[in-house]
Amino acid sequence: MIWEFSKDKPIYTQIIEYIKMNIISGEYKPGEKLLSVREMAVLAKVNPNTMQRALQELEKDELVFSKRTSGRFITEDKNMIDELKASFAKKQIMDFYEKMKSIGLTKEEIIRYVQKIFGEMK
Amino acid sequence: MLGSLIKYEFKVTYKKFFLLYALVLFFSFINRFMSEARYGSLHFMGIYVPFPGNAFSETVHLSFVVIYIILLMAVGILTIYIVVKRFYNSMFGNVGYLMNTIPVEPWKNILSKLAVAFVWLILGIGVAFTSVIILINDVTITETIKGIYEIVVYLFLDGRGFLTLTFIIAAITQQISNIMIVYCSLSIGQLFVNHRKIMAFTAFLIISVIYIFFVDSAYSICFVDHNAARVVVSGARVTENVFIIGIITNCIMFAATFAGTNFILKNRLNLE
Amino acid sequence: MSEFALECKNLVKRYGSKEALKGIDLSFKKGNIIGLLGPNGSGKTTFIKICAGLLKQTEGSIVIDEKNIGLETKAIISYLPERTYFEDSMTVIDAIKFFETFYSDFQCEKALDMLKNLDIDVNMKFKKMSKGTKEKVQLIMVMSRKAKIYFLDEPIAGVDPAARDYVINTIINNYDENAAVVISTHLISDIENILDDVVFIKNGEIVLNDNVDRIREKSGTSIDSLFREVFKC
Repeated sequence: MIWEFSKDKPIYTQIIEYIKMNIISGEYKPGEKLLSVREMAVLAKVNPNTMQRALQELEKDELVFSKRTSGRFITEDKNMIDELKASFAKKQIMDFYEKMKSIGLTKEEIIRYVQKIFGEMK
Repeated sequence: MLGSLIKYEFKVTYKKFFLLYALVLFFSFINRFMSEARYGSLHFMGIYVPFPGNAFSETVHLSFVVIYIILLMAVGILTIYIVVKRFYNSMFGNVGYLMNTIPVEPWKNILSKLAVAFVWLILGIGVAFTSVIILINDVTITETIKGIYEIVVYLFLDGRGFLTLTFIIAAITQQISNIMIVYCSLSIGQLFVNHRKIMAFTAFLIISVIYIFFVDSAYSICFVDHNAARVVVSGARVTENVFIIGIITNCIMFAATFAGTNFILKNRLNLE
Repeated sequence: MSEFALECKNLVKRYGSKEALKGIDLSFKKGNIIGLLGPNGSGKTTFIKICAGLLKQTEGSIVIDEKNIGLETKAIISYLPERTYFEDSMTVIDAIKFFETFYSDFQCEKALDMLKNLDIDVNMKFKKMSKGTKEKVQLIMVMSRKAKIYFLDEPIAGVDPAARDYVINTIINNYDENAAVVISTHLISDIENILDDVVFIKNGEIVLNDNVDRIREKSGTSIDSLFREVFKC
């Protein structure tokens, strides 16, 4: 697991994105215990303060919760995870649609292309 | 802390000195054997050893004599060189970044290096002295020891004790103050950005000149009768007083150069 | 108990007519990693030397953990200079014993662990080591102290990329919320991800002093790009 960050955006927002992706994809399972702030900082090669800030934001959004002395855990709220997945999918689809629209395709043409390519994929 | 610094200083310097001392003593033994051989016998502190005398051994003997003289000079030169180099490198060179950032007072750094330098100085003299004895001694070991004992006793007998004592203390303070003058000069040298070593040497010359004038004035004030028609050196117990004046001037010189070095290390450090 | 590991006000350092530091005001919070960035001759090293006790300032005040610069601060500052400051004839073990003797906050076990992880022979003399190994050993020694403030002067210059990773990992691993870490360098892109704050210093003056994330949000660039812009000739 190599964390890649671009340097022209704040790192903590990128960490939040990265962790959200892992939650959506199931890489981080619901209820799974996260490593300590320090361990995660070493893994990601970032400042522990930055990692802490990201985790605190995720806690505020309730995607992550902490149990006093036992550390931090991924949320067990499946609904919330599904919502997150849905909003991520929506954004990707909207971006995809904008791109397709910019080369002149209509919604019907886009769906036909998608079906054709999925057919070829199997 | 001071003890640790002294221990550390010895650890870093002892190998070179011990090697040199061993070589000097080794060659003085060899030369002794060889000189004895020239006279057909080998009588050294009561031991008799046979030895061949031919052209080859003559050449070998000569070269060993040369080596021995070189080594003897090397002891003096190396001691001075190491004293200077150690202080300069460890206080003002790369290692200065360590020595000046550890939480010890500068005076401890100065004193530790001074103490160790002094020990090597004394040992060097001791080794040279011993090697000369090895070379020229004609009597047995027990007789030698007895002789040395008798000399020591003589030096302290008949009220000569005070004279001998003041001489020894004067000699010791002289060495210590000499080392301190060198350290002070090196500290002054590092104040400059360029030509540090030249400036250090210049400072050394200036301090030495000041020292000579200072000592000269001290002696002339104490021993010269300026009221007489011509210069007269006064006093029956002149010799002891000479040493006492020496001790006092050495101590003053030491105090001044120590204070100067300490001040520079504390307030005017200028590492490259 | 102050939240600041270092506070300096109007720090000035003059060499004759030349002003190396022109009235610096800085404060470093405990638990922060600060980048002191600037080209050579900008005053970074002068500033660090004053903190370490190797130079006396001409004007201004500076306190480390609320103490004035002196013997007390030397005991709580861990300084990694650009050069090798151990004797050539010393072995790694000698260096460890030295630090143990003179620094009460030195953690011997930690140092030995880190050395073992790098397969460094503790009986090797410094004069026999490659440049990279010397730098790693010094870094290990400095980071094995539990100091209140660490000054790392160019810890990654002249070191290969793999070793740079090691340096960065060591810094993160040793994170202590009661200590500040000050990294002085001109190689910004390698370390900007681990910095909390950056200070740009030019010709003895502070031209920027801000939080890294705030800068990225405001300018939309990396610190490295901003640096190039600010310091372009």
